[in-house]
Amino acid sequence: MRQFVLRRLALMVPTLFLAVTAVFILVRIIPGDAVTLLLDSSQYSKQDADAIREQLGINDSIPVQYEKFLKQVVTGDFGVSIWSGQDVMDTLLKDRLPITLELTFFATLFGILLGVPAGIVAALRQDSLWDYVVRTIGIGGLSVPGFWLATMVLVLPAFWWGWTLPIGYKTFAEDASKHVQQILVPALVMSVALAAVLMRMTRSMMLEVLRQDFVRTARAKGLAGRVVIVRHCLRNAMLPLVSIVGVQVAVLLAGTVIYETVFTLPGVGSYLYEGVARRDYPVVQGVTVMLTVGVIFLNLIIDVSYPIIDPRVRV
Amino acid sequence: MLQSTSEPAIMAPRPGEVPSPLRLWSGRLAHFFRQKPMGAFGLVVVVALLFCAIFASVIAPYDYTERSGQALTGPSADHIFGTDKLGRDMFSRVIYGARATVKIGLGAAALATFTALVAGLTSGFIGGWYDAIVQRLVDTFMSLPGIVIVLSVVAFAGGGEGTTILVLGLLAAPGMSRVIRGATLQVRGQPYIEAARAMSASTPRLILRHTLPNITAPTIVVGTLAIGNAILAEAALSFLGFGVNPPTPSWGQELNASGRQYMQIAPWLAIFPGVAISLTVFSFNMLGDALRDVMDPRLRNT
Amino acid sequence: MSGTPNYWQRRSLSRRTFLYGTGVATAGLVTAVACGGGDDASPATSTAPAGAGTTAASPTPLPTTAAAKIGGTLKLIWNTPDAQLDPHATTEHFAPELYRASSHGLMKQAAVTEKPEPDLATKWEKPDPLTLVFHLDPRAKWHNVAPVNGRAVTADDVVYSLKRISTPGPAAPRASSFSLIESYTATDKNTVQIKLKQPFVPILVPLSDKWTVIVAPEVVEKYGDLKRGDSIVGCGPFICQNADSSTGATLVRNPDYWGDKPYLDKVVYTTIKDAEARIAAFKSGQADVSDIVPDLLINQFKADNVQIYEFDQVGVGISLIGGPNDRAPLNDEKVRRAINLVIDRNIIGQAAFPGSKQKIAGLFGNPTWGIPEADVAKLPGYGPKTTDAEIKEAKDLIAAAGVNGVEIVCNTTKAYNQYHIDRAEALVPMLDRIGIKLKLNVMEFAAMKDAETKKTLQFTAATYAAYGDPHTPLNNSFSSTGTRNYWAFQDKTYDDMVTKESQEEDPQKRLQLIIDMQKYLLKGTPVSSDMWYQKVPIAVLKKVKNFQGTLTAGASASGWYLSKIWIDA
Repeated sequence: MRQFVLRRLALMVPTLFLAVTAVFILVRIIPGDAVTLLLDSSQYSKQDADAIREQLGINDSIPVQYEKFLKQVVTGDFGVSIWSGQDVMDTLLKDRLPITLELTFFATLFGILLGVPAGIVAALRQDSLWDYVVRTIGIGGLSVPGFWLATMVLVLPAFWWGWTLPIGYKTFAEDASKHVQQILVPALVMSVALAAVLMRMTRSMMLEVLRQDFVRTARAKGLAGRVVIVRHCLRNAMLPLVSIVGVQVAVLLAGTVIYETVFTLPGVGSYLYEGVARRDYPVVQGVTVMLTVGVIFLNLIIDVSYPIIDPRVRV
Repeated sequence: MLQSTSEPAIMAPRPGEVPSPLRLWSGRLAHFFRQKPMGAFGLVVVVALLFCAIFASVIAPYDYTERSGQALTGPSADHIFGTDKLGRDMFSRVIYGARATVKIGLGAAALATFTALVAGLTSGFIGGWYDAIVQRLVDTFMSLPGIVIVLSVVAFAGGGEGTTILVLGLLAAPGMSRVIRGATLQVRGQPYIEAARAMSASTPRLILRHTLPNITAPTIVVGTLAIGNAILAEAALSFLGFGVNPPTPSWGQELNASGRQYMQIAPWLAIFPGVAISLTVFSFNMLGDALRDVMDPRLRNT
Repeated sequence: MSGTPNYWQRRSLSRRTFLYGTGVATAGLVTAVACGGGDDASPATSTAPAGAGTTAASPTPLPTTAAAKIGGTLKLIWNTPDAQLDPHATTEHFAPELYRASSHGLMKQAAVTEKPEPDLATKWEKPDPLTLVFHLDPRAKWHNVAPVNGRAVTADDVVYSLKRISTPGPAAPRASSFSLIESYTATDKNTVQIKLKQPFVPILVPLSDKWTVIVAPEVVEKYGDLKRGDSIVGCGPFICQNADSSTGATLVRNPDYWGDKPYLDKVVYTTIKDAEARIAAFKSGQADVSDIVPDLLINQFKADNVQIYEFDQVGVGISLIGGPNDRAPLNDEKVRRAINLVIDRNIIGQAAFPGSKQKIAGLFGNPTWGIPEADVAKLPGYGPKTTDAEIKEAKDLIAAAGVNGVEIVCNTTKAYNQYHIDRAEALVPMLDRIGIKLKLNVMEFAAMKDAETKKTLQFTAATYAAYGDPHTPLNNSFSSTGTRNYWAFQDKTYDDMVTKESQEEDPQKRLQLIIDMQKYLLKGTPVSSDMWYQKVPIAVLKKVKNFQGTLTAGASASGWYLSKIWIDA
């Protein structure tokens, strides 16, 4: 195990390096830079534009910028945003990441709490009406575009009952009750897709296990409480479930910009999105490095958990 | 996921019989419909979708840019799905929208599947240094934030169907390649591969002739899943302002451009494209499930 | 009084660009706090504030209507998370909004006409065409916070601020608007003298616009720059408690204000990016003033406690359809004329703003500066509906140019607003009629800006924001040296007209010149214009009194008028 972890950590370095280099290059070769946007609605000459680029440090040759960037990756200090003048890591870690982490955590939690029991019940009562209902709802949850569900949840109550979620993010310290509403409701909406996937996977894994000999034997021996069977089955089903959860978390970490827009939550997703849209290189670099490191570690944790959950698996 | 083990595998011909192809396939189809009602439902919807996409100009009563009515009128005899904010017939726009859905859904899934097959099959089969490098590249790609890739590709290539297919295909490919690689690894250890190798089959032949057919089941599953995901992703891209170029209609665009804004007074603008999206994704998923069930190797007699 | 809707110009909501012109001020709504304005060279309007030199009423705490109540919190919505809050370094709008409530500029602009009005400068003179002398209000004091601690505002502060705005660099994107100013001098504690390099009548416009606020040097020194919200310190009726453009801002009444104190205790801005969420916020009572209401949804907003205002848009922005004239097929004037003829401006208007009450305008949708309605109708292609004769003429032109069946790529982007795309979309069948295949390419925003700057776009349907005075768009977009001249339009006659207009001191003559220039452009069609006089609905809770408009409609910085608003709770 130790060897496995060490080897993976060693492999992490080239992957990280490749990924952040790719983003470094990508964001610079797409057309337009911060100066194009900065001077959008004013007159300026080419010399002005170049002078400003010089001051912002984006006129240096690519290798020079890359060298600076590598130093930043090592020290973890990505400088200040071209647009807002605020320290990138500060904004990211203090303002943006807590929101995204809370959303991701609760979305995952709700997804598991909703999906797994539904899948178990559907498997235990296979082919019954209940099974079909759960499966249909489950697939339905997967088939609705997320932004649509989010919009309905936000807008319809305002028109029908003159009430909606508090809009305008407040931290827990500022206003606990508003904060709780602002995080839990979007998390619930975000969990629908995960719940559906988990439900289907749980059901299918459980069905496979239920069919196997040792379960029949346990039943025949009279050992079967539902609980015992479920426990047996779940343990077998854990592996793929954990994989799916892992993938979902990775997706959620960077992919929440749509929900953040609809629910007005300034999280990591919008920070990155606006960074790219504004060609704010320090922001894009800082966020990407953090996300890449996060996802790689997450995958490592998931992979390490396999042999722990199921001793038959060898890494 | 098995429904039951007692039915005969539909892939195996009955002993002694050499049925005509038509009889064979209609028999299989009937069997399929009986065994997998949800999958059958999915198949019917998918066929209807393809039909709408291909024959849109015949089915749709109006052209999709034609202002044939007043803005925001509800379903009526002239306009069975109502009209949008510019007075265009929603029914026609939904029918024509099927084209974009089919092109993008199938196109992105095809691109992703093809790329994933090339990467996953070769990587899983050849192994060694090649595998290590390819897997590192896949890992790298998967850890890049998707939003950066989307914005970058669109910034380069502009909007439109082609770009959308490219982006969605690229995003889905790495994950799929992992699944295919896993399946390849499993097949590689099988005795019939050994046997073929003993008969001096070359590596390409081993891959294409012997391995590929045996990983069709997981490929089909992830492929159909990818279709559904691509359709949903296209709607999400429309939200961000990318996707199909107007005036070409697409269901995602309809939801975003007029559906969200006029939800209060014209819910039909959202209901019809929304149901179309959901039904399509649902059907592809069900179809994929059913296909996987019937193609599961464990059901085979060989 | 507060219930009278204002017939001002229309505009529609966009993230960064704001469209059209101002309308004529109707009497009554704008309480003229400070009258007078010296010899500013703006055209006469029907309600020009009184003549020279009268200063504001002496600072009794709460003037005007006896019914006005003190107290309460006003909840407003802001629509874009701007990048930063330095009013001199930004081209966005949140910073000016906040600074105009919490500080002052040398001058400000009237609510509808955007004419320069007194602010810190209570009067000004123009002893010769190259010199301006401004006299500051001697009572002006900074907020009683560190590091200014309530000291008096001096001419040196003004000179410092103006220099900060006008020195080119990344922190001064608008410096070029001040390029014709030679020097700023504080001739004494309360007098500022500005010298120009050459006569330029519209120079008062950048000096009075919402970004040109006065800041204290020690504040800039303390914070390094003014990008973050904690450095908003001014001399105005409100104090900024906190501001972060991605979440919002809070303003509180300045208890030591040297002028007329505001009625409100507090003003709270909440930043909400998504249009539907903004609607939900108003409908659920989390905001007192709505975003622009889509015309087709007005009935959804009517309620017993809601007042719907219809404002006209502020600004002299322009809306253009076309592309560079040095590239095929638009290099052939016949093609451009043909396109101009078949653009049905009513249909495009309804495509962009469904259900809105519109009237076709010339280059500016602004009664102060725009071509009079009757004359607009006479321009080819500007009739209420495209006639068969026009279509035939256009087809003949296309045939004569030999480009039947040509394909043109129209670039547009959603980052501004959906309506840009809707307008372009509506063009497709119109051009198809005469054999031009228009293909839309919805680009990513920065990529589009880059292509625009590099002049690689073939055809666009775009809007260009401008405020205060039409010289800016007329010069920037159409003169040979204009930086927004994306049409490769080189016309010596026109350039001469621009120079003449910028030096014409007589307001009436200048207005006529400006109208002539518009007619000249619209006849020659370097590019087609699609602009309307429109009404913008905004829903406001009835308890909010004296509402003058928001950033997008009625007032280009409502921060100017927050001190006049009161709440009848």
